Amino acid sequence: MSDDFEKLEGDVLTVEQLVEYLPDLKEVVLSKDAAMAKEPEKIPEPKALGPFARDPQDPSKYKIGPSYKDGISEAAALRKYRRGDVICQEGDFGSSAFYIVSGKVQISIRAPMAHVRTSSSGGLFAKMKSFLVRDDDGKARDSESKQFIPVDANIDLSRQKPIAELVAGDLFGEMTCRTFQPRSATVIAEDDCVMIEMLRSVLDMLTGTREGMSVVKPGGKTLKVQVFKGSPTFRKKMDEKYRARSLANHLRHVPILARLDDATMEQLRTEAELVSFGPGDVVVNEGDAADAFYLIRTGMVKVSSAMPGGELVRTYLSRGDYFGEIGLVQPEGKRTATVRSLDVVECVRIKATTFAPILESFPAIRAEVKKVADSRAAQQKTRSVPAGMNLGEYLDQGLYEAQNLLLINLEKCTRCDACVHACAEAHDGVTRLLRDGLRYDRYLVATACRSCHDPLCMTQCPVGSIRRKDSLEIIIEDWCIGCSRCAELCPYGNINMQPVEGGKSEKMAPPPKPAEGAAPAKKVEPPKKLKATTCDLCTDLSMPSCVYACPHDAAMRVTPANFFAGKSSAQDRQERSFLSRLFFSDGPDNRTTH
Amino acid sequence: MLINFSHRNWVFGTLVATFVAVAFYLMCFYPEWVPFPYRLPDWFGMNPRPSHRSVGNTPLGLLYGIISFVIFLFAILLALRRKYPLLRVGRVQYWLKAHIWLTILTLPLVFMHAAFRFGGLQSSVLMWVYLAVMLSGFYGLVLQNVMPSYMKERLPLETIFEQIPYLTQQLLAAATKMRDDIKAALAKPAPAPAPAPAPAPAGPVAEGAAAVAVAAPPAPVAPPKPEEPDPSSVTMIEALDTDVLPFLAAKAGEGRLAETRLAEEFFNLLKLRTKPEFHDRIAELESWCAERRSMDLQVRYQYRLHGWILFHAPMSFILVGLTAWHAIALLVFY
Repeated sequence: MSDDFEKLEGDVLTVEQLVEYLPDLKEVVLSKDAAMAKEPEKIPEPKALGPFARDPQDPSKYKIGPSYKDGISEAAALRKYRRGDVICQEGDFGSSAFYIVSGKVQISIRAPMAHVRTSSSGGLFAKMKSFLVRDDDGKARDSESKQFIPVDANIDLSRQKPIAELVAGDLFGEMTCRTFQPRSATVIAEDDCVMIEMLRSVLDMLTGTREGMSVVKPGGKTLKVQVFKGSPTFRKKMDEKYRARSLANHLRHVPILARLDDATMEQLRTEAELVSFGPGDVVVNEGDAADAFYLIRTGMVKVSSAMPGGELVRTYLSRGDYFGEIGLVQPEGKRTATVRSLDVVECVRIKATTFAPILESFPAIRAEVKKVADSRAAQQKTRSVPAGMNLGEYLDQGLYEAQNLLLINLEKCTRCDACVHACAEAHDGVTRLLRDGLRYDRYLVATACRSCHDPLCMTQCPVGSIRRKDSLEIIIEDWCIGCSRCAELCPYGNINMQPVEGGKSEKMAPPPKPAEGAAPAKKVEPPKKLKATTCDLCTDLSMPSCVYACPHDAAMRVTPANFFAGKSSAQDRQERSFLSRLFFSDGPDNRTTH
Repeated sequence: MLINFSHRNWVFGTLVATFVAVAFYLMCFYPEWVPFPYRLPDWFGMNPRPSHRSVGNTPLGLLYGIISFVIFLFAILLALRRKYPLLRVGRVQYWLKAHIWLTILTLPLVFMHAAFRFGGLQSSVLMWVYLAVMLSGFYGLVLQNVMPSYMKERLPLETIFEQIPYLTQQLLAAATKMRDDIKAALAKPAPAPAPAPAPAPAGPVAEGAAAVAVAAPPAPVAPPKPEEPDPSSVTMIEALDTDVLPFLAAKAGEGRLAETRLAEEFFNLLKLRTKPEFHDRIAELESWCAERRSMDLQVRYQYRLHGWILFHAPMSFILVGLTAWHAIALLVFY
């Protein structure tokens, strides 16, 4: 554990000093001591648990070992900030969390809240054009439904004005500390502040972790033991803050709960259970009875389904997202997916039995959930991999990973780039596809989002701005802070970072001014004017723009498994030109890659 | 656009329309050729055997002319359609199919309108322009059917066309850097020679006599010979200066490296003339030249594939203008 420690700036604290600032931590240490004193025979061997050691004065007792104390000492530091100081900036990397001992801070997203845009969209002609090219088919962009931005703190930021305040007793940077995600927001001292900056060992001790440690018993049996349960008092405080500040927001975000009246919502808010899961824990299992609904408070989960070709990762969900709503109204129903936690995950759990009386008062909600359940079942059917498909052929190019490919038939394509121009036209002048990439058979697999089965790009977003909609497409919300983690994680280079022109930055509050007579505060760096962009399949339109605009019927969006598996040689021949069939072979040896 | 099975409806439609148009033409002007006894109503007002030079002034001829003109107008709208690819007025590929097959339909219509004659000066000019537009269109269509497959086969390293100038610059910069590195290594002074061993005492020393150290006069040190430059490095620099860099710097590939076979020979020879430690660099140069050749080829193909439009498009606009003038002139002056 101590190998992970990094040197922190500021005054490094001893255990005793740390406990002074974080009295709740004392509870953890004492409870361990008390537990060890009570039942020394149950304490595992020191080697097995590392941080614990037998008391040399009284071998029947166990004490916090020196290595453990050292670990804590090196893992927390006292930090003092003057008003206006920047504590951390969005997009920066880090490995620590902060606990505010005194003072208050402003937490905000300073990146402009904007689409990537390079061309002006004003003017009468532009308006007329926009009217002519609208083809939304009633499919509104569903991002509008999410009215808050989840950040790495016990509070959410409003979409309209992404700024909030944290006060003494608040904790932020938990996810960065646990999973090394980039910082999700910029934090600036509003007053002179005292903070404890801590590494994971202290954070785990404070908030608890279920991350197990393997202990080998004398019989050779391996047991996974829990290291910390955290400080109950501290956890209780955090839970209360969450219930007070964010839970209602999160619950309102769930479409089926949005219509509940305030009294019912309040009841739900107080009765909801707060539960936690360790890394790799199965929260719900596909096929099990659906008996509860979950709302994610912190951490990230992976939602997957078993498919004939292997596991299909449907999506990753993080703070503010929810799953299992079917369980609220259909207790007899089955889970349609497995949800597994990727790290320490805290969830709000609402049991079907809690929700049953509410449903009686709101029959419309039951109807809505039924609709959602039906649509999920339909999706489940369409996402089957056809039998007989040889996935091995796809391995080299990672095509097995794709759910939706942009293919360009190189025997039809005249390299006119109409697809690229149309893409740019549809996305404010910035194309999201490159007519370049690997070749498979006579197709060019264009550089455009493949809607991967396992979208790695979604696993590290600190502000949850990259997500997958109910259908396949991956979208990047306007509050992207431009940290470029998703672009780095995409194995196929299909996410691009684009400079942003303008934005609604006027909604940002100015950073607090430094105190009089104080040294000038460290300047807030201007926000990174970059946004991640990726192909959104033009789901606002009836057909992807690239496909729609291709004059030669060369561009197509396909489900690779169905497309390649279902293609007969007769269809192949029909597709090819009469002339090209005279000049070129059409046998399997025609398959080239580069 | 590939003419494949998906065009069957258009082929069928064009053939039917042509058949109908020809049948009406024959029924009007050559009823004796029609296998069944049918005449169009008299209100068509046509002359059963045109004595004048064109049938364009008859109702049927005029109708064919008007249809052709409307098709010409529609055909040039394709340019506008492509300019605004997202307009929800049908996919561009439907427009292109319509463009191709409707303009093919104008062939019988125009020829029947003109009674298979070129007519006077104005009509002749119009007809030649029309033929030029149609022939260039057919040429383009053939190219679009053949070239994509050809490019797919011949250009495995095809890249984004707009990126080619940038990529060629990168190749040139890399080769220049290689040349400079080799030159710099060549210019480095050779390590200083080890000091010469102290000269042995001159003459035998008498046994038992005390050895007297006599400082021997310093031997004349020959000035160090200028080091022979490494011949492999010199060969590499020469090859880069005379062949590789000019080839990579040229606007279009020139010299012997522009030919695959000659380039292979060149690099094989270069390998024979240089030390093995240069062979990796030579292989790298060879791949850069191959990449450059591929890009040059791609540029040629791209121009070939799209060059015809530079003729076809302006001529189409001229055709529409002339047709409009033709209609106005004939209506006003005749």
